[in-house]
Amino acid sequence: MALRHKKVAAVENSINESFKKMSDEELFHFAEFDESAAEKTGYSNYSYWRSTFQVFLKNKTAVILLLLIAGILLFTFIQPVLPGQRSATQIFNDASGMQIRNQQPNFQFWFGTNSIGQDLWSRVWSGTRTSLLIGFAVALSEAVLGILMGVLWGYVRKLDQLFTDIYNVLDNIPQTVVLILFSYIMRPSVSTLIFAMCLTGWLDMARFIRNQIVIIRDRDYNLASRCLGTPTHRIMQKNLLPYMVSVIMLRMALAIPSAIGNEVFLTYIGLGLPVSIPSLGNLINEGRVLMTSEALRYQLFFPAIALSVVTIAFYIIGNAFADASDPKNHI
Amino acid sequence: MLKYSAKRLIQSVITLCIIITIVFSLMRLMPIEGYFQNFDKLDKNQIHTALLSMGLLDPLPIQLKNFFIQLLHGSLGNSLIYRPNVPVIQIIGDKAPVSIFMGLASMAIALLLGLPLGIAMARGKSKFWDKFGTAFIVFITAVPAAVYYLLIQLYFTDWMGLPILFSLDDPASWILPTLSLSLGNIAYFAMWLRRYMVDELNKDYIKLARAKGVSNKSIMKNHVFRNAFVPMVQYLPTSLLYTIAGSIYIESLYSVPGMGGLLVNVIQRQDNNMVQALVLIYSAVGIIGLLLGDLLMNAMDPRISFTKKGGAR
Amino acid sequence: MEQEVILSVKDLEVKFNLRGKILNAIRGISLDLYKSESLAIVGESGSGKSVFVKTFMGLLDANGMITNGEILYDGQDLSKFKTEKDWLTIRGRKIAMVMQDPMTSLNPLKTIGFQICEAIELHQNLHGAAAEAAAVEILNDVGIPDAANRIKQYPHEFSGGMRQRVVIAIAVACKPNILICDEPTTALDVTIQAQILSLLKNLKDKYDLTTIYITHDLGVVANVADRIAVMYAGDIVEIGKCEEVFYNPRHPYTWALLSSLPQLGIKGENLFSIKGAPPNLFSHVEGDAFAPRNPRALKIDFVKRPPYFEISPTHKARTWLLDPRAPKLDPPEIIQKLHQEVSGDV
Repeated sequence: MALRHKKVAAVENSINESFKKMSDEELFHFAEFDESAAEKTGYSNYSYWRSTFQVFLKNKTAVILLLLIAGILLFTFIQPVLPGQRSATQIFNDASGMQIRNQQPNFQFWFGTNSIGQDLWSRVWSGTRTSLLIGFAVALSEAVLGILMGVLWGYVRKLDQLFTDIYNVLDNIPQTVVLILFSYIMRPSVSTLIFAMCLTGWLDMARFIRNQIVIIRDRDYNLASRCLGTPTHRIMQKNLLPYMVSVIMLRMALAIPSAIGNEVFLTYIGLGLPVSIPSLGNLINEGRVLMTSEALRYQLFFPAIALSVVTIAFYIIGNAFADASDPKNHI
Repeated sequence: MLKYSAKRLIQSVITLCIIITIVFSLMRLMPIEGYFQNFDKLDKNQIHTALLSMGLLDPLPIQLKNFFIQLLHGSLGNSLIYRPNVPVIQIIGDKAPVSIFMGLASMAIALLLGLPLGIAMARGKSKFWDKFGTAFIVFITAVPAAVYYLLIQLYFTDWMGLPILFSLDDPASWILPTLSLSLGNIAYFAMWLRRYMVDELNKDYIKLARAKGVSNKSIMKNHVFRNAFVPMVQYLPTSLLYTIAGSIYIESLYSVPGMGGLLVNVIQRQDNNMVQALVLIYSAVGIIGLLLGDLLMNAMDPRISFTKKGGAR
Repeated sequence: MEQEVILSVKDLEVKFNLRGKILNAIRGISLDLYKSESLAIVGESGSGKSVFVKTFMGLLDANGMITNGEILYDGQDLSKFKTEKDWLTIRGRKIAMVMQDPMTSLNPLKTIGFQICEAIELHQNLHGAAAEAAAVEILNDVGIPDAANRIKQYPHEFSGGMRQRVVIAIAVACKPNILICDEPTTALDVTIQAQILSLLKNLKDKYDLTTIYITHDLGVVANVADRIAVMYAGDIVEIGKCEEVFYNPRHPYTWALLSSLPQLGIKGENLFSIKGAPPNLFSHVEGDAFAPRNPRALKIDFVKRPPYFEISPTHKARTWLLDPRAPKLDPPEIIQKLHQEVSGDV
């Protein structure tokens, strides 16, 4: 398509050039009518995903943060195997056999040690790893569960009313309450946490998917596609999927800071992970206890900064992606 | 309107009953230790007898029935561990007023600060207030409340010379907790109001208003803000839920003698009846919030017909 | 029809900045508007009709700008207006607009009484009960029954045609000199269209308004216009009295437009349609913009932009066909039939 238009334009230009050289006499004769030239207007080689990425890349903040997050992610995984790194749970003793407690950041311990002599640097990375893992697991489960339920909900007409009623009831329960309840009953662990957080998250995703599916049927432009004989899978692929995928990714991106936040919350209440598993929530809690003492504040800061960086980055990236995938912002 | 309200009210009550049932049933899965003060010291027989007498070994439907009857008599049972044999209602009743007061105050502050921020952001797109507001919203929304609550408590008590712990007698100690609590909602309201106002600004009827010679200021005030405010009402319930969640934190941090702090305590002490009761109360508050939000929305928009078709809210 | 010019546009150019690319929406239009006349501006979607009239009221989108030309009204050059304060002296007060879509033109959350009174309070200096009384009177004028009660109702309680009457009422309540109607009947049923047009005609006479109609519907034009301006690709290609343009069109585009009238179709044969699509205004247009779609274009149409040629003191067209050096070309048969058809019907 692009080639054909370029050819037409080239021909046209040469025609116009030759016209310009003619005398006034010759110009007042009829020109040949080229029908294809008449059609040469709004040609577009628009590609949804390409435009999305183009707009996203223009947002420098988001790109920088994306690189940052990728770097952090990478680092959390390779950090344990790097030379000279210590275990996150080992307690370190100094020369005389005493635990090196509450040691401020220095060359030996980059982030210092905590109150029982553990290396804060490795704890922070380990904690980030755990929290990110939880975050991703929750985001993924929400997406999978939400999509499954949403498709059922939207596709099977008979289930629509039932599911809607269920949704209306479940939606009424504050998410916090559900979290507390399940963590309390099931006793805290990584899987409990993930389970409890997924419970409420999938609802929104399911409702969204369901609405999209109903739209397949009802929106005018999809109706028009169907009238033209477009097969359903192509409608889904071209009309729906771009929008759905981008919103799904947005929700997943925002689910991660949300999950991490919930983990911190539960830990604070006492329903979080056991202390033996370092997580950002645990670390912040440990740090909080000591925060009144200025010398020991670093134990709060490092996990807090790690947490803030991760959450803010995901949030901004998620929103930037949402803006970029909105066709109104496309070039 | 009346008919719709009645309908919604009944819906809410039914929802509440369903939730009570669910919560109650789930709570039966709770660890048994939560019913006994001296669990370790009791032997199997004693445990068994006690459970029997508390009706905890009855089949679930019977337990449910008894519970509802108990509810209708206005009782949520007695605390077993936290304050043995004291009626739950009494314990909560002591703590509730502070939480309610702080919650309402923080929501009022959120409205007072959040709405103007949203307006300022919408009016000066990409200018100072928009940039500042956006940074503020991003920070508050992305970073878990725990972190900034802590930082505020840490630094602002120093800078402003305010007491770290809450005390009923010292109004100065009320400021930080209430303000911190309102932050999340300020961001929430500002963000949504800005979004709605910007949407309204692009609508046709605004163009007509301009064409007939209405000044920008009047348009903002009478048309854009008024119209954008209507859908804002639906966020009241969610903001209420945020406040509840936030209060659980804040009350702990500042040692506020309220329901949130109570919850943290009873979870740590594993007092099943108390946990159950608080969970139910919070759920009820959430439902009431949603009901109110719905009714308000309908009252404010003359277009909404009072029969909603199928489809989730 | 009086010959006093109340609005004069000279060489107006309007450009839009779309994400870095510049769109030449209006490419040099000159037009004189006479007092108390009814001017119709006709053209396809995208020809620039709406953009053109929006410049009179400062209602261009934020990314639009006037890059050349003047708009002379009441001793001032409107194209030089910068602040809102300047425009507030014009909007409503001197020039008012009726927009296309009555369904979205009114604020759904305010009573129509409020929306009319807003205009009355601004432009008639009446307030409170006096304003309301004036509002009721205007609603009666535009033909809304039971006005005193309906004033308290909301837009969604009115049908499309009624809403358009309300919008017209609002425009008239401003007591303007010039009334611009931007496709006032496009969104309405055919049966209602006639009523609205008739209403507009009556109001024009009653309040001595100068009206501009924007439309792509030639039927509407024939009904209401004293003069017609045909727009294509941001330029006026032909302008003249109604009869002149209908019965003696000279620009190939006008021919094509008129030929497209379904009423002229012959049973059993394909309806006429213009091949191709309007040009891309992002790039510079060489010569006559319509040339690529014109089967009878002259070579010079691709090279140089034609100037206006006068056909009569009131009728002129921008086409090289009117140049003395051009070959004689009769309008298509269809057009010649038009005169017969219409004079036959009338």
